Amino acid sequence: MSREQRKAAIQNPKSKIQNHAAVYLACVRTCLARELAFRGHFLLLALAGVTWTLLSLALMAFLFGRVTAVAGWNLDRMIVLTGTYVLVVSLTNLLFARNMQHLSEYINKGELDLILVKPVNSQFFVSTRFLSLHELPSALAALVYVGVGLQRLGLQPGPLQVLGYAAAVASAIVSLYALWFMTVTLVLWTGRIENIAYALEPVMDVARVPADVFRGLLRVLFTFVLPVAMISTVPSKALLGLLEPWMGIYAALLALALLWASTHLWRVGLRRYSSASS
Amino acid sequence: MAPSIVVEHLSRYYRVYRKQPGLLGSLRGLVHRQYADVRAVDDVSFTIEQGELVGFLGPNGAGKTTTLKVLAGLLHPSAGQVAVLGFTPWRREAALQRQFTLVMGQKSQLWWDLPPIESYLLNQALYDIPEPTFRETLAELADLLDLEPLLHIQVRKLSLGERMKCELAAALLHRPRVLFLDEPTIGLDVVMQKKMRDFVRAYNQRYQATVLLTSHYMDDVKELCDRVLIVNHGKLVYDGRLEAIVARYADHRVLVAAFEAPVARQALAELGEVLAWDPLRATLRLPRAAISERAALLLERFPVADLAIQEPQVEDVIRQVFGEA
Repeated sequence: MSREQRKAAIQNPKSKIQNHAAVYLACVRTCLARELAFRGHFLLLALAGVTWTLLSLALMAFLFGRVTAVAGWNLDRMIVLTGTYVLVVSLTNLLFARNMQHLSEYINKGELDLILVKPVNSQFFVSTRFLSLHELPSALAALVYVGVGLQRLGLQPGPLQVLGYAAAVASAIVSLYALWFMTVTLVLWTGRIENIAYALEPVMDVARVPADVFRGLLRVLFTFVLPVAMISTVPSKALLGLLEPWMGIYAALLALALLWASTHLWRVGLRRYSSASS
Repeated sequence: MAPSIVVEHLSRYYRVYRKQPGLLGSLRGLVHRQYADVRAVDDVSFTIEQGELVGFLGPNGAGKTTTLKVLAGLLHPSAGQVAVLGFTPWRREAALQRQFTLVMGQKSQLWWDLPPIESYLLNQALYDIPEPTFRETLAELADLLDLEPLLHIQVRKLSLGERMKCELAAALLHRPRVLFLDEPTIGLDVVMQKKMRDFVRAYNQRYQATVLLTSHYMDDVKELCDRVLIVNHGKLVYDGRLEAIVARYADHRVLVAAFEAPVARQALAELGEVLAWDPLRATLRLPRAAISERAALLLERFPVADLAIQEPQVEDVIRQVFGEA
């Protein structure tokens, strides 16, 4: 390819998307190869994930043995919510967990250098290089939960609700990713923070309960600032037909805003990285 | 043809935190930090033409890696202008990134858990290399580096030398026109060092690629590079042919003599500096201008069995250059 052709290829946004799709496909392929190479490891982690999912259901069944409903959420709705929670968390982990763990390593060991010289969007590459395919069984188990919950409720959501649910789950994943990425990006300033990749877990844990149980300041915080409500409450309500439309729109906008903020922070961080080190 | 690399008055400073020694010092550092500006690169200028193979020499911390990182677009300069193939590297444009490569001997881009071929396929996607070109280049690299048996073995199971070969291949799959090699032979044994050198030369000749190479091993530079850049304390102290600097700084010769009967050290010291001595053998450092006169004196005064006059080692010369700077 001549330089002019290359330049044209780079300036043409469609081919840029194709290019990134090809990179992503190559990453998926490589991850698949890796998971297959370590079959025992894959099975063990998959088993642990599914067990954890079952335990969260058992815990909830135990609680609802004592109360019938919390803030308008009865056991069957809670099954949908828990399934959604597990779905969002396991998909987020599947797509990003290993990348976030690796990112702080790249920065500390200087391996970011060899990534930054590649002709690819660096945030895209560091965020998508690895997949944790062993999360897939948990995600599937979560879908079964949601189905069981719906059946017990006697609900059959229409296409609009299913679409809304998918969009809300996608927004939740984007929001979580952006927050996670921004947390880890802080390493560009501080140098080293042990276990920063796990800093977001407590926030995610709050989403095990519906956002409606919180009152006052906490509710504002978990609904509008940290996207805790977006993780489980908003998608579940969308599926159950309980969601106010503005809340769905807000969730989508928040996801986009957080994503934009994460790219901005990465750019600023890289500028600092390339001016502060030697 | 336009030069590959143009560097004009490049400077790069950075701030470091000066930690006071001891526990008290650490505590003080929490509250009040003292910083110092370090001049990693200080007003350096040079131009490299396409196809040149240039060695970058200097002691640790002289500014070699920092300069390479600026050229690769990883660091912004504090002052000065840089152009690589006509691009400003720190804008990190894909059009430039497709045309150069960076190899750091102590860092790896290969996937640890997987065979090298998987990393190569990823790079094929990253650099958007068409399938036929990819296969052709990989075959060539595999041939030059004897990679064939390594391609399907997990990287973690490779030896350091094998891994470096695979590392180089990963860095060259997109047939870069400019190579920045930072200590590519570090930690390798002598045989493997030589293989890597032969490979770099072959690549340079086959693709007319521009190569800028840093190394601690003088042999790398001696064998590969006609031209050297020598930096010390961030400043460029020499830019030119390696032989020229040896001639310029070599104001002495080394004379090795073997004797038929024991000779006293003090007696030899009258002729010149004694570098090594045992009663039957001595090594002397003599001024170049006086070499024949002193050699004649030696033959006259001592029972000389054998005598040899040697060019100084490049290492010694370079050490001398650093000493002066």
